[in-house]
Formats: sequence, structure tokens, C-alpha cells
Amino acid sequence: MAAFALRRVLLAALVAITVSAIAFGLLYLSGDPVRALAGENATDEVIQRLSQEYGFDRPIGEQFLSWLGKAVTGDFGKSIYFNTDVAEMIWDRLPITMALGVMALGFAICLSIPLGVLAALRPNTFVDKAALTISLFGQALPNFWFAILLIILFGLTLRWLPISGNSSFAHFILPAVALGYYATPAFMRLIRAEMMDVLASDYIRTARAKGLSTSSVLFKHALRNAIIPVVSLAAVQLGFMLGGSVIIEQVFAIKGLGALAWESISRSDYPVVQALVLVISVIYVGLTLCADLLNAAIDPRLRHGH
Amino acid sequence: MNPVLEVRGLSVEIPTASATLRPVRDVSFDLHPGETLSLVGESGSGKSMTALAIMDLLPRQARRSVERLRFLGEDLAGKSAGEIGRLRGAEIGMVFQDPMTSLNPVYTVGNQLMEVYLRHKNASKREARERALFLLDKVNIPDPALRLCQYPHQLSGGLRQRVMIAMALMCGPALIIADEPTTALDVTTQSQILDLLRSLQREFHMAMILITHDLGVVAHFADRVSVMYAGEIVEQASTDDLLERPMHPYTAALLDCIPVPGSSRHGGKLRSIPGVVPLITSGDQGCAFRRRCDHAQDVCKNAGIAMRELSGGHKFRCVLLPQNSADVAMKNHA
Ligand SMILES: Nc1ncnc2c1ncn2[C@@H]1O[C@H](COP(=O)(O)OP(=O)(O)O)[C@@H](O)[C@H]1O
Ligand SMILES: [Mg+2]
Repeated sequence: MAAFALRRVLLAALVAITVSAIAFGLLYLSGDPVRALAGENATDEVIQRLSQEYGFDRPIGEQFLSWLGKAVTGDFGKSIYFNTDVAEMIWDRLPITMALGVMALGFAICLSIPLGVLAALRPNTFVDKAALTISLFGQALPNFWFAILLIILFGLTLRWLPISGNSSFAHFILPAVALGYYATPAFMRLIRAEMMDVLASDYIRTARAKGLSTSSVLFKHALRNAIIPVVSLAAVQLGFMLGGSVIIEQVFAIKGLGALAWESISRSDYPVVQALVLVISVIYVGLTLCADLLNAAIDPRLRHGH
Repeated sequence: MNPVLEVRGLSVEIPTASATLRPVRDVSFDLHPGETLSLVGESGSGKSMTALAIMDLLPRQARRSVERLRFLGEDLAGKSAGEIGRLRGAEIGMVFQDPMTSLNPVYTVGNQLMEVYLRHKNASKREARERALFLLDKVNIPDPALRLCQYPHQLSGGLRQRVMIAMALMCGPALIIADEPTTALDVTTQSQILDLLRSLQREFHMAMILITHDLGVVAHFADRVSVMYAGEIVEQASTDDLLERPMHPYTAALLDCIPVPGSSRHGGKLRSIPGVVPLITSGDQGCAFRRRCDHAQDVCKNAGIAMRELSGGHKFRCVLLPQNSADVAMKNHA
């Protein structure tokens, strides 16, 4: 198990570095940052001074390595726009986006697991079709639109929940639902398909032949096997939610990483954008790693390298 | 002596979009204490369906009907799912065909053995563990304490089938149903597992239904045989009687397929009956075997072919005169 974990951690680190190198290169290619910084009418002299100041005159490989070297120690440099510490800006925003992502994932899972299991138990019946409809509705609507519907219904008409800001738990409910609902169809279909496969398996027949209770057959024997691919999907989806919360954060005026990314891109604040790409890719890779470790805990065959 | 299991008029229907399938039709048999009854027939004859129907474990779409189903004198047909669940695993143990897929991959052998004991017996975990160790030893698994903590994928097919057998015996059942317990195993393991089943059956005084497609297995292990074809029992007799005097042409054809060591009867080749078992739907009538039968006549198309009985409880379902069937039998043993 320890060797397995170590292998996975090393692989994860490698992926994170590669992703940030690619992101670094892409930003470099997407235009001259100094020119963007200095403005249309800047003189050559100003541009040269800025280039030197920010190190843009050095070869790209060298720039990347020195940036990465500092990043590893938690130093992401200063924001071009605010001249404040980038790491601090990110640390301020990270918990907000994390809270939103985790709540959204929690909502998606709490909705889709019971629906998926019910659908698998009664395939092609009313229950199955209703579950499918509920989840398809989530995918058919663009999530900003769904967010606006939620705001109108629960925020403006019923006045149950706040619709903007991130100052309390209640502020996260609508955005989490809007963000999470979008992921429910994928979860529901996966759980339904996996449960149906598992319920038709020989070891479930064995469990029933042993006279075990329905709940033991369903939850102990079936769900634990069916959940394995769901864990991997959850990691990917949470990653999407963290990276993709840009729109939802805008709609609900939540000051999270998504909003920071949005603002920094529009301000050409390269140090912040680069740091965000690295942080989000590390989180993403970290989530996949967590999913692998969790699955190894669930399924002994993965621990033993089968 | 009262039978352990009485089955009368057991049928299974599966409605599909085009027709209603009838994979089990009017199956009847008795099973006496300590006896081994073999259900034998080619793949697709409805042997597994019959076993699952008795256990109330049929697939969702399948409908069961039965005139009489009694286990140790108790009526099973009228019992609720919960009451039958109390018998399954406790009074009736099952061993399935494929040991590679019949154990849950994510729980240890010990966990899966103990849970059935904990479910049915008012026992502590320690007692359940003790019982599991005892049975792993009984099924000749070396180092039972180690195996208890292992997962199924760490065991060979033969060992897993031994675990399945131990699991079926955890609660001391009166009946064990083994559905092709050795079909997925290699030849040497096969005979070890069958010998093991037989010795455990004697030691614990259990009745056994041994499902197989192999008449060679039947000859060695069964007291009585029910030959199934396309969902029906076509012949039923004591093993000796059936092997000596097969009355139904299907039985005769099956017997003809057993390779005889040292004989060049089939030019050394394994033989099988040409064609496959048909799927019977609600519209079909007549003898299901007639299209593959060398002796088929026009009468074989008639509906309702009754069981006929010879002395000694030897029954068969064929309209051909016993004289003709005897000829068939003679021919095969010439
Ligand atoms: N779930 C099912 N739905 C429809 N037909 C089935 C199903 N399971 C088995 N059958 C059919 O029932 C017949 C009997 O199958 P089975 O009892 O497994 O035969 P055996 O065990 O003798 O090989 C076969 O023709 C098979 O195709
Ligand atoms: Mg079968």
C-alpha cells in the first residue's frame, strides 16, 4: 500500500509540473505580456525596463525554472496589477472555492446516488424514467441559466436564501445547487449502470443465496462494488467544479478562485494567472490521487496490483 | 422416511416481447435424506433455473408456478420472501458454477464466511470465526487462519470453490444444491472437489442436488438421476437403472457421448449430440427432443406427452413403445 501510494504521489507531482509548464508556455505564446502591461503607446525604453524588471527578457526555460523553484516554496511573486503577494491572494480565495466545490459535489452525490440506485433496482419503470428525467433536466439547462432560475425562485420570489456574496453558509446553498446539479446526470447514469451490472453478478446471487437481508445485499455487497468508478468520477467532477466555478462565482458574486481567475485574465495579471493554473492543476492531480487511494481502500485488488 | 424436498409441477415462465419462454416445465421430484439426486442435461436444459426456482432466486422477469414445494415438511410455496430468506443459507446451502466470480471481490474470505453464520445463528463474532476456521479445515484448506484474512483474488479457483463449499455448510444445512460445482475447474481439481462434496455430505448427513452436464460425474456420485431436456424432466431413475436401461432416446444419446477409456467407439473423438437445445415458448407442443431424435415419429408432435413408469420408480417421457426404447438402449450398449 505504501509503495502504491508513493508511486501515485510521484506521478501526480510529475503531472502537475508538466501542466504548469504547458500553461507557462501557452501564456508566453498568447502575446507579449510586457506590451500588454505597458499599454499601446509605451515607448521602447519603458518596455525594456519592464522586461528587465519582470525577467521577461530571459529565455523562457530559465524563466519557467526560476518561477517553478520559487513556486515550490510558496512564492508566486507579486501581482502586476495590485503589486500584492500572489500567494496571499490565492490563499484568501481558495477556501471559498473549495467550500463551494465540496458543497456542490455533496449535493450532486446526495441526489444522484439514491436516484441511481432506485433506477437500477427498477429499470425501465416509472421510477427509472423519472430519475433520468430529473437528471437530464440538469444537463439540458446551461448552468448560468439554472442559477438565474434558482435566484428568481428562492432568492427573489420566496426570499428564502441570499443570492449574492459569500459571507455565510446560506450564501453557498444556491450556488452549490446550481454548480452541483449540472454534474448529477453523469453520476446518476454511472451509478445506475454500475449497480445494474453488479446486481446481475454472481456474487450478488451468492449473497442472496446466503439469505442475507436486502439491505446487506444492496449496501454491503452491491454498492461498495458499484461505487468504485463513482469515486474516480467524483474527483474529476470536483476538479471541473473548482476550475469551472468561474461563471457561477460571477452570477452569485462570490469572491473565489474562479472570480480571481476571471479578473486576472482580463487585467493581464500574468503572475496571478500562472499561479492559479499551477494551484488548480495541483488540486486536480491531488483529487485524482485521493480518488486512487480511496479506491485502493475500497477494492483490495487495486492494492495488490491486479 | 419423509423426503427432505418435494417438488411437484414446478414451472418457470419468462415473458418477452415476442413470446413467453418456458425454461422450466412441470418439474417434479423427491429428495430423501442423505440422498444425492443429479439433475443432468446439456447446457440450456433449465437445470440452473430449476435450482433457482426452488430457492426463489429467479431473475426478476421470471414467473414461478408450483403445485407443491415442501422442504422438511414445510410448505415453501406460500412463504414470504423474508421467511424463505431465513432458510436460504441456513437450511439450504448453494454452491455455484464459477468460483472466480461467485465470491465478492472486496471482502475477505473470513468476512464472507462469518456473515452467513452471524445472519442465521445467534452467535458472537468469535463463534462465527471459530466455525469458519473449522469448516475451512473441513474442506482441506491448509492454513485456515491465513486464508480467513485473504481476499478471493489471492486464492486459486480450486481453493475458492472449497471456500464456497465451506460457506454453504456454515449453518449446517439439511440440503445442499451444487450447480455444476466443477465445470469451471481443471480435471484433477474437479474430482477432488466432487470427492470432498461426497465425503462432507456423508459426514454431515445432508441431501444433495448435484447439477451437472456430465453423465460420467453422475455415474460416480449420484444415487438417483433426473435427466432434463428443454425444461422438462424426460427420464428419472436410480443411477444404476438409468445407466443400464436408458429408456428415453435423449438419455441414450447422452450416454453415447461419454468417452469410454481404452475404447475406440468414437474413433477416439469426443462426441456430442448434433444440434442444440431448443427454446420452448408457450405455443410449442409435442416432444421437445423430436427434431434431434433418431427415432422420431408423427406421434411425437402430439401435445401432452405423459410420464410413463416402469417398476422401481423408473420414469420416462416418451411415446415410443418401451419395446422400441429398449431397443435404443440395447443398441447403445451393444
Ligand atoms: N434471465 C433470463 N432471461 C431469459 N432467458 C433465460 C434467462 N436465464 C436463462 N434463460 C434461458 O433459460 C434456459 C435455461 O437456462 P439454464 O437454467 O441456465 O440452463 P442450464 O443450467 O441447464 O444450462 C436457457 O434457454 C436460457 O437461455
Ligand atoms: Mg446452468
